[in-house]
Amino acid sequence: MQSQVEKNQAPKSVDRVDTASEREKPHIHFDDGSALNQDGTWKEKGRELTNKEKEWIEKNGWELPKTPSKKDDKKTQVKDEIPNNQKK
Amino acid sequence: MKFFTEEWCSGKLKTSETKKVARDYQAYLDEIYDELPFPIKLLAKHINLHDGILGEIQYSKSSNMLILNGSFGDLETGYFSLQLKYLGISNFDLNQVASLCKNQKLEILRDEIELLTTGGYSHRLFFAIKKELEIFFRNLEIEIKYIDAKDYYKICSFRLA
Repeated sequence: MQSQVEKNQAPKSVDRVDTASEREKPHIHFDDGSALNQDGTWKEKGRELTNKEKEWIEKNGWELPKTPSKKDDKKTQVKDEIPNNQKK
Repeated sequence: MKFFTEEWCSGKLKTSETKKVARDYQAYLDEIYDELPFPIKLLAKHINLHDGILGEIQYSKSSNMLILNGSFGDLETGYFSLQLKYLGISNFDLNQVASLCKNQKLEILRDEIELLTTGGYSHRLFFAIKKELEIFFRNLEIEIKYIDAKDYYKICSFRLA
């Protein structure tokens, strides 16, 4: 993937791709300081990826970050616990 | 760099070659490990400098000492500031180091330790700007501090004490 960066075949926002080592998963560095591991976990500063970035990442067989489900995003709804017969 | 060359750091090697270099370096470290003083053992095996940013390099000719200050870590391991104080340094090229950190962001891609036949040590650092720094030293002191969030250094400054 780094060779694609050097040949301008990667999205412009990609700074470099670092290889795996004994302590590091392979990861992509973006120009805003964020970095994404191959398994889709954020190494630095998580953010929403652009469609171009997503497309390139998937094309290279890497995982996309897991986005929070809508269920998790829902605010707790306060139920109306006052019985109807007690309401004025 | 003897192990983690520019080709290794820029992913130009085949996966099998990349893994072999990492294995060879680990085997080398295992071989010399017992002979290393504790701070160098710690640096060689337990402190990950990858993606760390050097903020200051300080050289004292009178004390024959070189100090590197930087911030390191990631979301998974947490962040820390690290000071590496190299004592009894030799073959120090003042001009090379001064030009290395002149208005540049010094992000470390890889480092390696070597036990020299003269009894000293070499610590080699390879940066994202594709430049290398080699430090020859006799002893090392390490200071690590937890930092709440990564306080990135923008550029590296050089100080002559």
